[in-house]
Amino acid sequence: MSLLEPVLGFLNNPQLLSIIIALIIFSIGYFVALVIRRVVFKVGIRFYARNIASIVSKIIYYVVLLIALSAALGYLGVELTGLIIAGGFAGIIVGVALQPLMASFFAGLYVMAERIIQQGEVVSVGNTMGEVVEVSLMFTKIRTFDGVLVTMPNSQLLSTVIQNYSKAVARRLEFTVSIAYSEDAEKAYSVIKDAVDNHPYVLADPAPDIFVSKLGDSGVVITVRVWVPRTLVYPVTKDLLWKIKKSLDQAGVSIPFPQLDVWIKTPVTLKKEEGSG
Amino acid sequence: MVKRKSGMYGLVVKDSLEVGEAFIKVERFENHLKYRRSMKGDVKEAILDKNALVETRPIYSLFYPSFITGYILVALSKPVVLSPKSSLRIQLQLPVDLALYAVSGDFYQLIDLVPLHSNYKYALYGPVISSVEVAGYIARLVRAEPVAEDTVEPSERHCLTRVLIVNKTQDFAKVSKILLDAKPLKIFYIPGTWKCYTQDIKMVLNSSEHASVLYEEKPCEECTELEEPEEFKGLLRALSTEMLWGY
Repeated sequence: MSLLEPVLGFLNNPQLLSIIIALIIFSIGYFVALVIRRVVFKVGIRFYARNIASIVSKIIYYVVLLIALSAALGYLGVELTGLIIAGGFAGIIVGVALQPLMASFFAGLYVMAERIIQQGEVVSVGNTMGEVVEVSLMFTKIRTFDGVLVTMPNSQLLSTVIQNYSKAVARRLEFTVSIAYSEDAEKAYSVIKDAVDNHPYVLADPAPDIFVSKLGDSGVVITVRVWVPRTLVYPVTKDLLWKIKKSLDQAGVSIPFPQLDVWIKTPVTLKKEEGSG
Repeated sequence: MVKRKSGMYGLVVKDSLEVGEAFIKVERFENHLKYRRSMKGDVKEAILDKNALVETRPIYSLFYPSFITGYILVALSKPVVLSPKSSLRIQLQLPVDLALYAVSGDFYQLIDLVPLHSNYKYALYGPVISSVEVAGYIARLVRAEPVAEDTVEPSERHCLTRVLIVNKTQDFAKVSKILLDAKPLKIFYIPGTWKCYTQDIKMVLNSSEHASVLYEEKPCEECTELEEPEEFKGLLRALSTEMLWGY
């Protein structure tokens, strides 16, 4: 009995009992927050990137924790209205001050969730084209093909046109070749077709498209459209036009240079200068 | 030292070897080997330590001019037509190239590859891009003639593939292409011969647009299984290849 007396006396103190119950409420809230955080993270990484799953799970964790804290304080009779109003004002002030940062933050979340661009992809954002090095919550880093690292706020990603070249498995390339009017167009066509068909990286399906697209000022313009694997766009661009040029040269098909015929109505007398040979 | 004039699989090159337009020479010195291959003016050389052997093996025709895909799209020269709920076994000759491996005990390393065919092309199977992020595949394009007779032997520079096509649909089905994934598809060869086989294949036609390609039995008892190429090591292997955009 002597041992139970202090315990019962302790429990008879209503203030102490309230504190214990408040602590229990907060502990339960804390435990629930931990469980929810883990579950959200584990489920999230199945569908989204690891960093986004981590961020979302942390946000939910802190929200649940805040609710638990509010409930515990509420049980203790702490008036939260003033705190909430003060917090609201502080939130508005901080929100206005950090508006650009918050915009980038939420844009970053959206970009990651939607997988608009991802690390390693080749993209064009506004005037910047290159490989994505990193997508973080605030910034996206792109390394341009001439080796410059461009860091842009994520908010900019949502306000501009993004071209993602890595989403397609193949890309179409287009070349134009001009041949002189005096040349045999059929022969030129078959020479170009052979060059295209013999190139290993020009896809057989979708089939290449070769056609006369314009009767130009200086020659007949032939357009060549080919599909190539996405990763080989640059080497094929460099290689194919060169091969077409060489094939046309070997076949004796001349590529015209820009020329202009001038007709003079009145006769022109050409005078030979003394000592000009 | 036996000088051989023509190549075959599982051969240790001790002196010289001619395969098509390629001339391969292996010179043994006191503490090393010199490997040299010339073909149409292109020369490839390597120096190996004295413990290594140079051996010929078949390899998927996926590594020349460079490795860009593990998929092979077999375009049949004539369609195979199956009535509802029926099946038919066909045989195909799939082109292979010749690989030169440095071998020491159980270890091996690809040192050279001799292309055995003239025209290497690729094709796109499926859409360029899809809204659900399941785009098509770039695949090595292979044209092959389907043969229904069982007596066919593998021809030189090719692997024989037996494909059992099962039509599960309620309608006639016309098969004109087969998509294979080289990662799960094993190659087998008979050492000292040009005979090469792939694992048996079962192609199940589930609907007019969708087929599943399953990789099945070892083709012959005396065959030696080819070790997987470096590019395929450590990759997760699918048990089947889904043809989602028609056959």
